[in-house]
Amino acid sequence: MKLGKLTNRLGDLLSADRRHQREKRDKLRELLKLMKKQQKELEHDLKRDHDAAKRAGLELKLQILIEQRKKGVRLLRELSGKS
Amino acid sequence: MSFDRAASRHILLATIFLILGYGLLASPEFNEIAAGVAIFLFGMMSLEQGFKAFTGGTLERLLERTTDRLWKSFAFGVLATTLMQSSSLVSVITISFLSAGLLGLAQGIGIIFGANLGSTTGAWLVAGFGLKVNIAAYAMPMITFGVILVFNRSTTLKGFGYVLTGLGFLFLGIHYMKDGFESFGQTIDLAAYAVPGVGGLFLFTLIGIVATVIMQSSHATLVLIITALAAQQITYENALALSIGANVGTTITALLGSISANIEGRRLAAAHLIFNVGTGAIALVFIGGFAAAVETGSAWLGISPDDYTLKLALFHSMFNLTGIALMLPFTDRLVVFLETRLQPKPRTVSTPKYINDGMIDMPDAALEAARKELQHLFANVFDIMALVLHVDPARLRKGEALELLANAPEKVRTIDVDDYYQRRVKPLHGSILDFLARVRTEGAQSRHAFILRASSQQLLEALKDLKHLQKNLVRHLASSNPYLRKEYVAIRQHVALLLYELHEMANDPEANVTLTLDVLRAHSEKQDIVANGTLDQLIREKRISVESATSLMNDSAYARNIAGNLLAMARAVFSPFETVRHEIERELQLDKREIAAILADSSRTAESQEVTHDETR
Repeated sequence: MKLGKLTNRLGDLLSADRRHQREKRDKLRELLKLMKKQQKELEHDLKRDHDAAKRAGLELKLQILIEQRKKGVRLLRELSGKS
Repeated sequence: MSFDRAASRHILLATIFLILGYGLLASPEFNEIAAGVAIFLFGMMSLEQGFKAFTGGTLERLLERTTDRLWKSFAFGVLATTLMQSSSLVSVITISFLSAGLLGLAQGIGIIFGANLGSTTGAWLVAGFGLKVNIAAYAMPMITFGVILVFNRSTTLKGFGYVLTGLGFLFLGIHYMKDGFESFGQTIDLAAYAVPGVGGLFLFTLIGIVATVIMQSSHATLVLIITALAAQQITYENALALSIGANVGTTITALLGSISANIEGRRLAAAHLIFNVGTGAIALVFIGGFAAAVETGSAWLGISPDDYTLKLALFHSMFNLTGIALMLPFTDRLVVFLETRLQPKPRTVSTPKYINDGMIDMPDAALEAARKELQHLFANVFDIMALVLHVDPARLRKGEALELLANAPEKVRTIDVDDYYQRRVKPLHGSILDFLARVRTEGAQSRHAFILRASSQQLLEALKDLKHLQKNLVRHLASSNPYLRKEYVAIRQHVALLLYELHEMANDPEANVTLTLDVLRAHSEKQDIVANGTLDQLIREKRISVESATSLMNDSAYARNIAGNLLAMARAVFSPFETVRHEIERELQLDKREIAAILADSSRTAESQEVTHDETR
């Protein structure tokens, strides 16, 4: 194991905060992937559906998902120290 | 009656103290052995305390990943018990997880079988390592470093500290027992009291059972047997019988743990008893065969013929392995047998399904059980709410005839919400509150318990608001004013659809909770007749009276409160609690302003689409 990786692991073990941040980042990454997949599915459904009421429901869901994804990406940047 | 029981318990304790006191005063060797047992048991407690620190997530994740197949559950049982050196702790955790619905009975049985094999590693460690080296020399630094780590704030390091201290005390206890028996041998020869033949076999099996029941640890009994055997204070034959007794006696901890468990926990404890008594009986009946097999096995493994302690460890492993080999293929039949023979007591809708006193000491399993019990409470509240909304609860769950909600029901009647509340909600709610108050939580667990308590309150608030709403709902669903009727039909439709969506979400483990809840919140905001201008329009156009407008405004607020409380409850109750996931969900959740902006945007889009549609026409 490389020294950098080893010190990271040791740091994780000794600091509950660091461990927590890392776990949060990993979980968020996983969730964002899932949300992206869901967004594509919704966009696909929206293209196929012509019923006005259903389309309105799908559009609302899509808009909320996009907004939540934006927040998620911002949070991930913060957690990765990129902002 | 209770006084008699308490008094007899005190008399028993005083008698034990007197006998022990006399023994300790009369014999310094006995003093050393007793202190060794006490230190060993204290080490076990510390070890258990340490491993409990890892039940906050790690153990649950391991259990989830490793128990989907029988062989995996079995392997988990072997490894967990080898690592923790306590089959009792593994049994009690398994019973708690089973009661909380986190495990199936077959998986639980696999773990218990594995735990039996895992517990035999203790005898190998003590016989092969503990007696051959001066383990007290390792004990001291372990205790020193362990205690320093116990003072640490980090739960993980504290857990490691307890494990290290526990191991140190285990080693120290073994050392004292070994020394005690060695000095004992110089004054009294206990082996002179050995009982040969079948009588001795049964007598020493019984002694093994009693010793394990008293110490509640087969590990402690085995260490005592091994150290006594090493000092030649008991004969090899009697030691074999004692180890069989220890194996049977160990079920007492699981049986005690199951008293307060639910039916699943009791079934598992029964499986544990059947396995250990069955294995013990096989070992007793075929003891001659086992002894011969041990001789052959010892020759293969290079164990010297006079190394009786290692031979005892081999015997212990052999008869447990035989029991597993005989019973593991019949696990499915055992499950069917237990499920047929042990039936749950008849229960009412307000009897708790998941929570029980047996899991009070396992905060993570307890909180998970409380969460599931709150889902049960939601199901009861769902039924009452559906009835108030004049919808058949079973059909609403299936999503049948949802389009009919767009019209007023043919007949309307008032439901006695108070009566339903007293019978179906209050007793269950009380049980959950009582349970949560008694679970010993700390840190994130306390926060989780607080959130669950708040969720139970939100469910009650939602029901209370619907009770208030019912008064006008019943009246105006049958109103002759079509405008007023339409608004109450919309309120009814909104709450009923919300209930349906929540039921769907509760039963879909893959659901994106954050998204679904925000979509439902947006729908709820859209229904706000004050904010969307519907109420003003109805008043301006004199479609409804001012009195009716006031009622409608209040009832619309009730509907919004119902939605708010149900959505807040759902966020906490419908998916397993993980601090990190909970934090992420909270941060991704849209606030009121963001939802309002999306709604305004979507209404603008709808308007422009209408205009384009009109123009093209």
